[in-house]
Amino acid sequence: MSPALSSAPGIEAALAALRSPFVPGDQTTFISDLTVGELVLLEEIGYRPVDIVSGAGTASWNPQFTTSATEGNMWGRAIATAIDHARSGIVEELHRRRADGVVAMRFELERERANLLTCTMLGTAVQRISRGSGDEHPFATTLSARDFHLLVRGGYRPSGIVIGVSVVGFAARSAAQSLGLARDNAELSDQTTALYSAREQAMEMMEREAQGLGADGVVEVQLQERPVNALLTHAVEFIAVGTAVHRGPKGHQALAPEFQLTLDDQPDTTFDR
Amino acid sequence: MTDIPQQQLPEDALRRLRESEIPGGRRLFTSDLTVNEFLLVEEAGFTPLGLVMGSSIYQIGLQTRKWSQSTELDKLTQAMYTARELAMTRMEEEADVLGADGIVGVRLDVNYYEWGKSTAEFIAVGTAVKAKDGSSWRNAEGKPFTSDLSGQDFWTLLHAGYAPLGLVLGTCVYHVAHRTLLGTMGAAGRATELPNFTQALYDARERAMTRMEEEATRLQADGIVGVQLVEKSHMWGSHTIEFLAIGTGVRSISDDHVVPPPVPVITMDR
Repeated sequence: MSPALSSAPGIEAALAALRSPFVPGDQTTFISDLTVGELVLLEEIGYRPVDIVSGAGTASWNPQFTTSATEGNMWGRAIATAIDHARSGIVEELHRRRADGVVAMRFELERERANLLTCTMLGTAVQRISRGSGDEHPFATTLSARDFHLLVRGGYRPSGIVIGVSVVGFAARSAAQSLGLARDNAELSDQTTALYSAREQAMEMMEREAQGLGADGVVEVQLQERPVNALLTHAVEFIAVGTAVHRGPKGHQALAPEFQLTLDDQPDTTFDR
Repeated sequence: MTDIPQQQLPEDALRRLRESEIPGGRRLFTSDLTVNEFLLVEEAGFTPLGLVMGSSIYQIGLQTRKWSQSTELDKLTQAMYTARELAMTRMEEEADVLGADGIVGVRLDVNYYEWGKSTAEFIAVGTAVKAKDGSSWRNAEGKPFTSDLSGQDFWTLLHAGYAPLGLVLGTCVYHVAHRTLLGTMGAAGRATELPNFTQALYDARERAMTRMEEEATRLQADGIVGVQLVEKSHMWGSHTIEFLAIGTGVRSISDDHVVPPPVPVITMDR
Protein backbone atom coordinates (compact mmCIF):
# COMPACT_ATOMS: atom_id res chain seq x y z
CA MET A 1 0.00 0.00 0.00
CA SER A 2 1.41 3.41 -0.91
CA PRO A 3 2.02 5.76 2.01
CA ALA A 4 -0.22 8.47 0.49
CA LEU A 5 -3.25 6.15 0.46
CA SER A 6 -2.85 4.82 3.99
CA SER A 7 -2.68 8.34 5.40
CA ALA A 8 -6.00 9.38 3.87
CA PRO A 9 -8.38 10.25 6.77
CA GLY A 10 -11.34 8.28 5.38
CA ILE A 11 -9.42 5.04 5.38
CA GLU A 12 -8.31 5.41 8.99
CA ALA A 13 -11.93 5.89 10.03
CA ALA A 14 -13.11 2.94 7.96
CA LEU A 15 -10.42 0.66 9.40
CA ALA A 16 -11.29 1.78 12.91
CA ALA A 17 -14.96 1.05 12.25
CA LEU A 18 -14.13 -2.42 10.98
CA ARG A 19 -12.01 -3.14 14.05
CA SER A 20 -14.79 -2.23 16.49
CA PRO A 21 -17.11 -5.13 17.41
CA PHE A 22 -20.43 -5.50 15.59
CA VAL A 23 -23.47 -5.04 17.81
CA PRO A 24 -26.69 -6.18 16.15
CA GLY A 25 -29.57 -3.77 16.45
CA ASP A 26 -27.24 -0.97 17.48
CA GLN A 27 -26.43 0.46 14.08
CA THR A 28 -26.95 4.03 13.10
CA THR A 29 -26.41 3.50 9.39
CA PHE A 30 -28.89 1.63 7.29
CA ILE A 31 -28.44 -0.51 4.22
CA SER A 32 -31.21 -0.88 1.67
CA ASP A 33 -31.72 -1.59 -1.99
CA LEU A 34 -34.47 1.02 -2.20
CA THR A 35 -34.36 3.91 -4.64
CA VAL A 36 -34.38 7.47 -3.32
CA GLY A 37 -38.03 7.82 -4.29
CA GLU A 38 -38.97 4.67 -2.41
CA LEU A 39 -37.04 5.85 0.64
CA VAL A 40 -39.02 9.09 0.70
CA LEU A 41 -42.32 7.21 0.22
CA LEU A 42 -41.47 5.01 3.21
CA GLU A 43 -40.61 7.95 5.44
CA GLU A 44 -43.80 9.69 4.37
CA ILE A 45 -45.83 6.95 6.05
CA GLY A 46 -43.51 6.80 9.06
CA TYR A 47 -41.12 3.96 8.27
CA ARG A 48 -37.35 3.85 7.80
CA PRO A 49 -35.14 1.11 6.38
CA VAL A 50 -32.93 -0.88 8.75
CA ASP A 51 -30.94 -3.41 6.79
CA ILE A 52 -31.12 -6.01 4.09
CA VAL A 53 -32.27 -9.27 5.67
CA SER A 54 -32.70 -12.77 4.32
CA GLY A 55 -33.90 -16.23 5.14
CA ALA A 56 -33.32 -19.58 3.45
CA GLY A 57 -34.75 -23.05 3.65
CA THR A 58 -34.05 -26.35 1.92
CA ALA A 59 -35.82 -29.64 1.51
CA SER A 60 -35.22 -32.73 -0.57
CA TRP A 61 -37.30 -35.60 -1.81
CA ASN A 62 -36.71 -38.85 -3.67
CA PRO A 63 -39.36 -39.47 -6.28
CA GLN A 64 -40.44 -43.04 -7.01
CA PHE A 65 -42.22 -41.98 -10.24
CA THR A 66 -45.47 -43.60 -9.25
CA THR A 67 -47.42 -40.35 -8.86
CA SER A 68 -49.61 -41.89 -6.24
CA ALA A 69 -51.52 -39.54 -3.99
CA THR A 70 -49.11 -40.06 -1.09
CA GLU A 71 -46.13 -39.26 -3.26
CA GLY A 72 -47.76 -36.02 -4.36
CA ASN A 73 -48.36 -35.16 -0.74
CA MET A 74 -44.72 -35.85 0.15
CA TRP A 75 -43.49 -33.51 -2.55
CA GLY A 76 -46.03 -30.86 -1.58
CA ARG A 77 -44.89 -31.11 2.01
CA ALA A 78 -41.23 -30.79 0.98
CA ILE A 79 -41.99 -27.55 -0.87
CA ALA A 80 -44.00 -26.21 2.05
CA THR A 81 -41.19 -27.08 4.48
CA ALA A 82 -38.54 -25.23 2.47
CA ILE A 83 -40.75 -22.16 2.24
CA ASP A 84 -41.60 -22.32 5.92
CA HIS A 85 -37.95 -22.45 6.99
CA ALA A 86 -37.06 -19.48 4.81
CA ARG A 87 -39.96 -17.49 6.16
CA SER A 88 -39.35 -18.23 9.81
CA GLY A 89 -35.66 -17.46 9.22
CA ILE A 90 -36.39 -13.99 7.89
CA VAL A 91 -38.97 -13.26 10.61
CA GLU A 92 -36.45 -14.30 13.28
CA GLU A 93 -33.94 -11.93 11.73
CA LEU A 94 -36.55 -9.15 11.90
CA HIS A 95 -37.09 -9.82 15.60
CA ARG A 96 -33.34 -9.62 16.18
CA ARG A 97 -33.07 -6.30 14.38
CA ARG A 98 -36.17 -5.01 16.15
CA ALA A 99 -37.64 -4.32 12.72
CA ASP A 100 -41.38 -4.19 12.02
CA GLY A 101 -41.30 -5.84 8.65
CA VAL A 102 -39.60 -6.44 5.35
CA VAL A 103 -40.74 -4.91 2.06
CA ALA A 104 -39.90 -5.58 -1.59
CA MET A 105 -38.94 -9.09 -0.58
CA ARG A 106 -37.65 -11.38 -3.29
CA PHE A 107 -39.13 -14.84 -3.01
CA GLU A 108 -37.36 -17.53 -4.99
CA LEU A 109 -37.90 -21.23 -5.18
CA GLU A 110 -35.14 -23.09 -6.96
CA ARG A 111 -34.72 -26.71 -7.75
CA GLU A 112 -31.15 -27.95 -7.76
CA ARG A 113 -29.95 -31.26 -8.99
CA ALA A 114 -30.74 -34.40 -6.95
CA ASN A 115 -34.17 -33.01 -6.02
CA LEU A 116 -32.80 -30.48 -3.61
CA LEU A 117 -35.18 -27.59 -3.22
CA THR A 118 -34.01 -24.24 -1.92
CA CYS A 119 -36.16 -21.29 -0.99
CA THR A 120 -34.67 -17.84 -0.48
CA MET A 121 -36.28 -14.68 0.79
CA LEU A 122 -34.40 -11.40 0.72
CA GLY A 123 -35.54 -7.84 1.22
CA THR A 124 -35.20 -4.54 3.05
CA ALA A 125 -36.22 -4.57 6.71
CA VAL A 126 -38.15 -1.50 7.83
CA GLN A 127 -38.90 -0.03 11.23
CA ARG A 128 -41.56 2.39 12.41
CA ILE A 129 -40.00 5.78 13.17
CA SER A 130 -42.23 6.49 16.15
CA ARG A 131 -41.94 3.45 18.39
CA GLY A 132 -44.70 2.38 20.72
CA SER A 133 -48.24 1.27 19.92
CA GLY A 134 -48.13 -2.47 20.43
CA ASP A 135 -45.66 -5.11 19.36
CA GLU A 136 -47.25 -6.54 16.26
CA HIS A 137 -45.86 -9.62 14.64
CA PRO A 138 -43.32 -8.48 12.02
CA PHE A 139 -44.54 -8.84 8.46
CA ALA A 140 -42.76 -10.05 5.34
CA THR A 141 -44.15 -8.93 2.01
CA THR A 142 -43.18 -9.08 -1.62
CA LEU A 143 -44.98 -5.77 -2.17
CA SER A 144 -42.74 -2.97 -3.36
CA ALA A 145 -42.13 0.12 -1.24
CA ARG A 146 -44.60 2.12 -3.36
CA ASP A 147 -47.30 -0.54 -2.99
CA PHE A 148 -46.66 -0.64 0.77
CA HIS A 149 -47.00 3.16 0.87
CA LEU A 150 -50.28 3.08 -1.07
CA LEU A 151 -51.69 0.23 1.01
CA VAL A 152 -51.00 2.08 4.27
CA ARG A 153 -52.52 5.29 2.89
CA GLY A 154 -55.54 3.31 1.74
CA GLY A 155 -56.15 2.20 5.33
CA TYR A 156 -54.55 -1.26 5.30
CA ARG A 157 -51.31 -2.80 6.44
CA PRO A 158 -49.62 -6.00 5.28
CA SER A 159 -49.55 -8.89 7.74
CA GLY A 160 -47.29 -11.26 5.87
CA ILE A 161 -46.66 -13.43 2.84
CA VAL A 162 -49.02 -16.41 2.72
CA ILE A 163 -48.43 -19.52 0.65
CA GLY A 164 -50.34 -22.64 -0.29
CA VAL A 165 -48.95 -25.71 -2.07
CA SER A 166 -50.58 -28.72 -3.67
CA VAL A 167 -49.40 -31.46 -6.00
CA VAL A 168 -51.62 -33.62 -8.18
CA GLY A 169 -50.90 -36.75 -10.19
CA PHE A 170 -52.95 -38.03 -13.13
CA ALA A 171 -54.25 -41.27 -14.41
CA ALA A 172 -52.79 -42.22 -17.77
CA ARG A 173 -55.18 -41.76 -20.65
CA SER A 174 -56.40 -44.09 -23.32
CA ALA A 175 -54.12 -44.69 -26.31
CA ALA A 176 -56.44 -42.89 -28.72
CA GLN A 177 -56.54 -39.86 -26.47
CA SER A 178 -52.81 -39.62 -25.97
CA LEU A 179 -52.13 -39.97 -29.67
CA GLY A 180 -54.58 -37.20 -30.39
CA LEU A 181 -56.73 -39.49 -32.50
CA ALA A 182 -59.99 -39.01 -30.68
CA ARG A 183 -62.38 -37.53 -33.20
CA ASP A 184 -64.97 -35.92 -30.99
CA ASN A 185 -65.11 -32.82 -28.88
CA ALA A 186 -65.38 -33.78 -25.25
CA GLU A 187 -64.51 -32.52 -21.85
CA LEU A 188 -62.14 -34.79 -19.94
CA SER A 189 -63.93 -34.60 -16.64
CA ASP A 190 -61.50 -36.65 -14.52
CA GLN A 191 -58.52 -34.52 -15.47
CA THR A 192 -60.55 -31.33 -15.17
CA THR A 193 -61.62 -32.21 -11.64
CA ALA A 194 -58.10 -33.27 -10.64
CA LEU A 195 -56.49 -30.00 -11.69
CA TYR A 196 -59.44 -27.91 -10.54
CA SER A 197 -59.34 -29.47 -7.08
CA ALA A 198 -55.57 -29.11 -6.79
CA ARG A 199 -55.80 -25.41 -7.58
CA GLU A 200 -58.54 -24.95 -4.99
CA GLN A 201 -56.50 -26.86 -2.40
CA ALA A 202 -53.50 -24.58 -2.89
CA MET A 203 -55.80 -21.56 -2.51
CA GLU A 204 -57.43 -23.05 0.56
CA MET A 205 -54.10 -23.71 2.27
CA MET A 206 -53.05 -20.12 1.54
CA GLU A 207 -56.33 -18.81 2.91
CA ARG A 208 -55.91 -20.87 6.07
CA GLU A 209 -52.52 -19.28 6.63
CA ALA A 210 -54.09 -15.85 6.23
CA GLN A 211 -56.81 -16.73 8.70
CA GLY A 212 -54.09 -17.90 11.09
CA LEU A 213 -52.58 -14.42 10.90
CA GLY A 214 -55.99 -12.92 11.66
CA ALA A 215 -55.91 -11.11 8.32
CA ASP A 216 -58.91 -9.53 6.58
CA GLY A 217 -57.85 -10.51 3.10
CA VAL A 218 -55.13 -11.46 0.66
CA VAL A 219 -54.05 -9.28 -2.27
CA GLU A 220 -51.81 -9.91 -5.27
CA VAL A 221 -52.47 -13.65 -5.25
CA GLN A 222 -50.44 -15.48 -7.84
CA LEU A 223 -51.25 -19.03 -8.78
CA GLN A 224 -48.24 -20.69 -10.33
CA GLU A 225 -48.24 -24.13 -11.81
CA ARG A 226 -45.64 -26.35 -13.43
CA PRO A 227 -44.99 -30.04 -14.00
CA VAL A 228 -43.21 -31.66 -11.05
CA ASN A 229 -40.31 -32.45 -13.36
CA ALA A 230 -39.56 -33.29 -16.96
CA LEU A 231 -40.22 -37.00 -16.41
CA LEU A 232 -43.38 -36.48 -14.44
CA THR A 233 -45.39 -34.29 -16.80
CA HIS A 234 -48.62 -35.81 -15.60
CA ALA A 235 -47.92 -34.59 -12.09
CA VAL A 236 -48.42 -30.88 -11.61
CA GLU A 237 -47.55 -28.67 -8.65
CA PHE A 238 -49.51 -25.55 -7.75
CA ILE A 239 -48.24 -22.75 -5.56
CA ALA A 240 -50.50 -19.90 -4.45
CA VAL A 241 -48.66 -16.87 -3.06
CA GLY A 242 -50.16 -13.63 -1.83
CA THR A 243 -49.85 -10.85 0.73
CA ALA A 244 -52.25 -11.02 3.66
CA VAL A 245 -53.56 -7.61 4.74
CA HIS A 246 -55.23 -6.15 7.81
CA ARG A 247 -57.89 -3.48 7.52
CA GLY A 248 -57.14 -0.58 9.87
CA PRO A 249 -59.69 0.63 12.45
CA LYS A 250 -60.96 3.36 10.12
CA GLY A 251 -61.48 1.03 7.16
CA HIS A 252 -60.73 2.02 3.59
CA GLN A 253 -59.39 5.54 3.20
CA ALA A 254 -60.28 7.39 0.01
CA LEU A 255 -57.31 8.16 -2.20
CA ALA A 256 -59.32 10.38 -4.58
CA PRO A 257 -57.05 10.05 -7.59
CA GLU A 258 -57.31 12.64 -10.33
CA PHE A 259 -57.32 12.06 -14.06
CA GLN A 260 -54.10 12.70 -15.88
CA LEU A 261 -53.48 12.85 -19.56
CA THR A 262 -49.94 12.25 -20.55
CA LEU A 263 -48.73 14.34 -23.44
CA ASP A 264 -45.97 11.85 -24.18
CA ASP A 265 -46.28 10.12 -27.52
CA GLN A 266 -46.20 6.38 -27.66
CA PRO A 267 -43.45 4.95 -29.82
CA ASP A 268 -44.57 4.29 -33.37
CA THR A 269 -45.80 0.74 -33.69
CA THR A 270 -47.44 0.72 -37.10
CA PHE A 271 -44.94 -1.55 -38.78
CA ASP A 272 -43.13 -2.99 -35.81
CA ARG A 273 -45.09 -5.67 -34.03
CA MET B 1 -74.26 -21.77 -29.27
CA THR B 2 -74.50 -24.93 -27.21
CA ASP B 3 -76.40 -25.50 -24.04
CA ILE B 4 -73.92 -25.71 -21.22
CA PRO B 5 -74.99 -28.41 -18.81
CA GLN B 6 -75.26 -27.19 -15.25
CA GLN B 7 -72.03 -28.39 -13.70
CA GLN B 8 -71.49 -29.17 -10.10
CA LEU B 9 -68.41 -27.46 -8.73
CA PRO B 10 -65.81 -29.82 -7.26
CA GLU B 11 -66.11 -30.42 -3.50
CA ASP B 12 -62.78 -28.68 -2.89
CA ALA B 13 -64.06 -25.50 -4.50
CA LEU B 14 -67.22 -25.37 -2.42
CA ARG B 15 -65.30 -26.09 0.75
CA ARG B 16 -62.80 -23.31 0.06
CA LEU B 17 -65.51 -20.78 -0.72
CA ARG B 18 -67.51 -21.65 2.38
CA GLU B 19 -64.52 -21.83 4.70
CA SER B 20 -63.37 -18.29 4.05
CA GLU B 21 -65.51 -17.05 6.93
CA ILE B 22 -63.48 -15.61 9.76
CA PRO B 23 -64.90 -16.01 13.26
CA GLY B 24 -66.93 -12.90 13.99
CA GLY B 25 -69.06 -12.94 10.86
CA ARG B 26 -66.51 -11.31 8.58
CA ARG B 27 -64.95 -13.18 5.74
CA LEU B 28 -61.47 -13.38 4.39
CA PHE B 29 -61.16 -12.01 0.89
CA THR B 30 -58.61 -13.08 -1.67
CA SER B 31 -57.73 -11.37 -4.89
CA ASP B 32 -55.11 -11.42 -7.59
CA LEU B 33 -55.54 -7.68 -8.08
CA THR B 34 -52.44 -5.56 -7.59
CA VAL B 35 -52.42 -3.07 -4.72
CA ASN B 36 -53.28 -0.29 -7.19
CA GLU B 37 -56.25 -2.18 -8.58
CA PHE B 38 -57.43 -3.40 -5.19
CA LEU B 39 -57.53 0.15 -3.77
CA LEU B 40 -59.26 1.50 -6.88
CA VAL B 41 -61.95 -1.21 -6.75
CA GLU B 42 -62.57 -0.20 -3.13
CA GLU B 43 -62.52 3.44 -4.20
CA ALA B 44 -65.18 2.65 -6.80
CA GLY B 45 -67.47 1.41 -4.01
CA PHE B 46 -66.91 -2.32 -4.24
CA THR B 47 -65.50 -4.83 -1.76
CA PRO B 48 -63.51 -7.77 -3.09
CA LEU B 49 -64.96 -11.09 -1.92
CA GLY B 50 -62.59 -13.68 -3.27
CA LEU B 51 -60.59 -15.07 -6.14
CA VAL B 52 -62.91 -17.17 -8.26
CA MET B 53 -61.92 -19.56 -10.99
CA GLY B 54 -63.20 -22.17 -13.35
CA SER B 55 -61.47 -24.59 -15.64
CA SER B 56 -62.13 -27.25 -18.21
CA ILE B 57 -59.77 -29.72 -19.79
CA TYR B 58 -61.16 -30.24 -23.23
CA GLN B 59 -60.33 -32.68 -25.95
CA ILE B 60 -60.60 -30.88 -29.24
CA GLY B 61 -61.87 -33.22 -31.90
CA LEU B 62 -60.59 -33.80 -35.39
CA GLN B 63 -62.00 -32.24 -38.48
CA THR B 64 -60.79 -32.92 -41.97
CA ARG B 65 -59.80 -29.90 -44.02
CA LYS B 66 -59.62 -29.63 -47.76
CA TRP B 67 -56.19 -28.49 -48.90
CA SER B 68 -57.46 -25.90 -51.34
CA GLN B 69 -60.66 -24.74 -49.71
CA SER B 70 -61.07 -21.87 -47.24
CA THR B 71 -63.74 -22.67 -44.73
CA GLU B 72 -64.74 -22.37 -41.12
CA LEU B 73 -64.11 -25.52 -39.08
CA ASP B 74 -67.35 -25.67 -37.11
CA LYS B 75 -66.31 -28.50 -34.89
CA LEU B 76 -63.20 -26.67 -33.71
CA THR B 77 -65.07 -23.40 -33.31
CA GLN B 78 -67.60 -25.26 -31.24
CA ALA B 79 -64.86 -26.79 -29.06
CA MET B 80 -63.14 -23.45 -28.39
CA TYR B 81 -66.49 -21.86 -27.58
CA THR B 82 -67.81 -24.61 -25.34
CA ALA B 83 -64.60 -25.08 -23.35
CA ARG B 84 -64.36 -21.36 -22.60
CA GLU B 85 -68.02 -21.21 -21.66
CA LEU B 86 -67.56 -24.17 -19.30
CA ALA B 87 -64.66 -22.43 -17.56
CA MET B 88 -66.53 -19.12 -17.35
CA THR B 89 -69.75 -20.70 -16.12
CA ARG B 90 -67.90 -22.44 -13.30
CA MET B 91 -66.18 -19.19 -12.38
CA GLU B 92 -69.58 -17.48 -12.29
CA GLU B 93 -70.96 -20.28 -10.13
CA GLU B 94 -68.12 -19.76 -7.66
CA ALA B 95 -68.99 -16.07 -7.59
CA ASP B 96 -72.61 -17.00 -6.95
CA VAL B 97 -71.58 -19.07 -3.92
CA LEU B 98 -69.91 -15.93 -2.54
CA GLY B 99 -73.01 -13.82 -3.26
CA ALA B 100 -71.09 -11.54 -5.61
CA ASP B 101 -72.44 -8.73 -7.79
CA GLY B 102 -69.72 -9.11 -10.34
CA ILE B 103 -66.27 -10.33 -11.32
CA VAL B 104 -63.51 -7.92 -12.31
CA GLY B 105 -60.10 -8.51 -13.86
CA VAL B 106 -61.18 -11.73 -15.59
CA ARG B 107 -58.38 -13.55 -17.38
CA LEU B 108 -58.96 -16.34 -19.87
CA ASP B 109 -55.99 -18.63 -20.38
CA VAL B 110 -55.41 -21.72 -22.48
CA ASN B 111 -52.77 -24.19 -21.25
CA TYR B 112 -51.35 -27.12 -23.13
CA TYR B 113 -49.82 -30.02 -21.28
CA GLU B 114 -47.29 -32.40 -22.66
CA TRP B 115 -49.43 -35.39 -21.87
CA GLY B 116 -52.23 -34.45 -24.16
CA LYS B 117 -52.10 -33.75 -27.85
CA SER B 118 -55.20 -31.89 -29.04
CA THR B 119 -56.12 -31.43 -25.40
CA ALA B 120 -56.10 -28.06 -23.72
CA GLU B 121 -57.04 -26.67 -20.37
CA PHE B 122 -59.19 -23.54 -20.49
CA ILE B 123 -59.06 -21.42 -17.36
CA ALA B 124 -61.04 -18.39 -16.24
CA VAL B 125 -59.84 -16.47 -13.18
CA GLY B 126 -61.14 -13.22 -11.69
CA THR B 127 -61.96 -11.37 -8.49
CA ALA B 128 -65.56 -11.51 -7.26
CA VAL B 129 -66.77 -8.16 -5.90
CA LYS B 130 -69.84 -6.85 -4.09
CA ALA B 131 -71.23 -3.31 -4.04
CA LYS B 132 -70.76 -1.64 -0.64
CA ASP B 133 -74.13 0.13 -0.79
CA GLY B 134 -76.05 -3.11 -1.37
CA SER B 135 -77.30 -2.14 -4.83
CA SER B 136 -77.68 -4.90 -7.39
CA TRP B 137 -75.32 -4.99 -10.35
CA ARG B 138 -76.53 -8.20 -11.95
CA ASN B 139 -76.95 -8.15 -15.71
CA ALA B 140 -79.90 -8.86 -18.00
CA GLU B 141 -79.33 -12.60 -17.64
CA GLY B 142 -79.51 -12.33 -13.84
CA LYS B 143 -75.85 -13.26 -13.51
CA PRO B 144 -73.03 -11.35 -11.82
CA PHE B 145 -71.39 -8.98 -14.29
CA THR B 146 -68.02 -10.04 -15.65
CA SER B 147 -65.29 -7.89 -17.09
CA ASP B 148 -61.71 -8.30 -18.21
CA LEU B 149 -61.02 -4.65 -17.47
CA SER B 150 -58.26 -3.85 -14.98
CA GLY B 151 -59.06 -2.20 -11.63
CA GLN B 152 -57.95 1.12 -13.12
CA ASP B 153 -60.27 0.82 -16.13
CA PHE B 154 -63.12 -0.36 -13.90
CA TRP B 155 -62.82 2.75 -11.71
CA THR B 156 -62.62 5.03 -14.73
CA LEU B 157 -65.58 3.35 -16.43
CA LEU B 158 -67.81 3.82 -13.37
CA HIS B 159 -66.64 7.41 -12.95
CA ALA B 160 -67.57 8.13 -16.53
CA GLY B 161 -71.10 6.81 -15.97
CA TYR B 162 -70.95 3.33 -17.47
CA ALA B 163 -71.52 -0.06 -15.86
CA PRO B 164 -69.93 -3.27 -17.10
CA LEU B 165 -72.43 -6.02 -18.01
CA GLY B 166 -70.45 -8.98 -19.13
CA LEU B 167 -67.43 -10.36 -20.89
CA VAL B 168 -68.53 -10.97 -24.46
CA LEU B 169 -66.62 -13.09 -26.91
CA GLY B 170 -66.87 -14.50 -30.37
CA THR B 171 -64.64 -17.07 -31.93
CA CYS B 172 -64.11 -18.61 -35.32
CA VAL B 173 -61.64 -21.33 -36.27
CA TYR B 174 -60.89 -21.01 -39.94
CA HIS B 175 -58.94 -23.03 -42.42
CA VAL B 176 -57.20 -20.85 -44.97
CA ALA B 177 -56.77 -22.63 -48.29
CA HIS B 178 -53.29 -23.37 -49.55
CA ARG B 179 -52.47 -21.85 -52.92
CA THR B 180 -52.42 -24.02 -55.98
CA LEU B 181 -49.09 -24.79 -57.55
CA LEU B 182 -50.10 -22.99 -60.72
CA GLY B 183 -51.25 -19.93 -58.82
CA THR B 184 -48.01 -19.80 -56.82
CA MET B 185 -45.95 -19.95 -59.95
CA GLY B 186 -48.07 -17.37 -61.72
CA ALA B 187 -47.62 -14.91 -58.88
CA ALA B 188 -43.93 -15.60 -58.33
CA GLY B 189 -41.81 -12.49 -58.35
CA ARG B 190 -44.76 -10.15 -58.70
CA ALA B 191 -46.18 -7.83 -56.09
CA THR B 192 -49.82 -8.77 -56.02
CA GLU B 193 -52.66 -9.20 -53.63
CA LEU B 194 -53.57 -12.78 -52.81
CA PRO B 195 -57.34 -12.48 -52.87
CA ASN B 196 -58.16 -15.86 -51.37
CA PHE B 197 -55.94 -15.20 -48.33
CA THR B 198 -57.33 -11.70 -47.88
CA GLN B 199 -60.87 -12.93 -48.25
CA ALA B 200 -60.42 -15.83 -45.83
CA LEU B 201 -58.90 -13.77 -43.04
CA TYR B 202 -61.45 -11.01 -43.57
CA ASP B 203 -64.31 -13.45 -43.42
CA ALA B 204 -63.03 -15.20 -40.28
CA ARG B 205 -62.46 -11.94 -38.42
CA GLU B 206 -65.94 -10.69 -39.33
CA ARG B 207 -67.55 -13.90 -38.09
CA ALA B 208 -65.77 -13.65 -34.74
CA MET B 209 -66.74 -9.98 -34.33
CA THR B 210 -70.36 -10.63 -35.31
CA ARG B 211 -70.66 -13.41 -32.73
CA MET B 212 -69.22 -11.13 -30.07
CA GLU B 213 -71.75 -8.44 -31.00
CA GLU B 214 -74.58 -10.97 -30.77
CA GLU B 215 -73.53 -11.78 -27.21
CA ALA B 216 -73.52 -8.06 -26.36
CA THR B 217 -77.01 -7.63 -27.83
CA ARG B 218 -78.26 -10.48 -25.66
CA LEU B 219 -76.96 -8.61 -22.60
CA GLN B 220 -78.68 -5.42 -23.83
CA ALA B 221 -75.37 -3.61 -23.88
CA ASP B 222 -74.97 -0.10 -25.28
CA GLY B 223 -71.53 -0.94 -26.52
CA ILE B 224 -68.38 -3.00 -26.12
CA VAL B 225 -65.13 -1.56 -24.77
CA GLY B 226 -61.60 -2.90 -24.67
CA VAL B 227 -62.09 -5.24 -27.60
CA GLN B 228 -59.10 -7.42 -28.35
CA LEU B 229 -58.78 -9.44 -31.49
CA VAL B 230 -56.46 -12.39 -30.97
CA GLU B 231 -55.29 -14.69 -33.75
CA LYS B 232 -53.73 -17.99 -32.77
CA SER B 233 -52.98 -21.25 -34.48
CA HIS B 234 -52.81 -23.26 -31.23
CA MET B 235 -51.83 -26.82 -32.19
CA TRP B 236 -53.26 -26.87 -35.71
CA GLY B 237 -50.41 -25.68 -37.91
CA SER B 238 -50.10 -22.47 -39.89
CA HIS B 239 -53.19 -22.66 -42.09
CA THR B 240 -55.75 -23.15 -39.36
CA ILE B 241 -56.28 -20.09 -37.22
CA GLU B 242 -58.58 -19.20 -34.36
CA PHE B 243 -59.88 -15.65 -34.42
CA LEU B 244 -61.03 -14.63 -30.97
CA ALA B 245 -62.78 -11.32 -30.35
CA ILE B 246 -63.22 -10.45 -26.71
CA GLY B 247 -64.41 -7.33 -24.89
CA THR B 248 -66.61 -5.99 -22.11
CA GLY B 249 -70.22 -5.09 -22.83
CA VAL B 250 -71.20 -1.86 -21.09
CA ARG B 251 -74.39 0.06 -20.40
CA SER B 252 -74.82 3.75 -19.71
CA ILE B 253 -75.93 4.54 -16.14
CA SER B 254 -75.90 8.32 -16.20
CA ASP B 255 -77.11 11.06 -18.49
CA ASP B 256 -73.77 12.61 -19.18
CA HIS B 257 -70.38 10.99 -19.39
CA VAL B 258 -68.30 14.00 -18.45
CA VAL B 259 -65.34 13.58 -16.15
CA PRO B 260 -63.24 16.40 -14.67
CA PRO B 261 -60.86 17.50 -17.43
CA PRO B 262 -57.68 15.44 -17.10
CA VAL B 263 -54.55 17.29 -16.03
CA PRO B 264 -52.10 17.30 -18.94
CA VAL B 265 -48.70 16.01 -17.83
CA ILE B 266 -45.36 15.39 -19.42
CA THR B 267 -43.17 12.85 -17.65
CA MET B 268 -39.57 13.88 -17.27
CA ASP B 269 -38.01 10.52 -16.54
CA ARG B 270 -38.65 8.82 -19.82
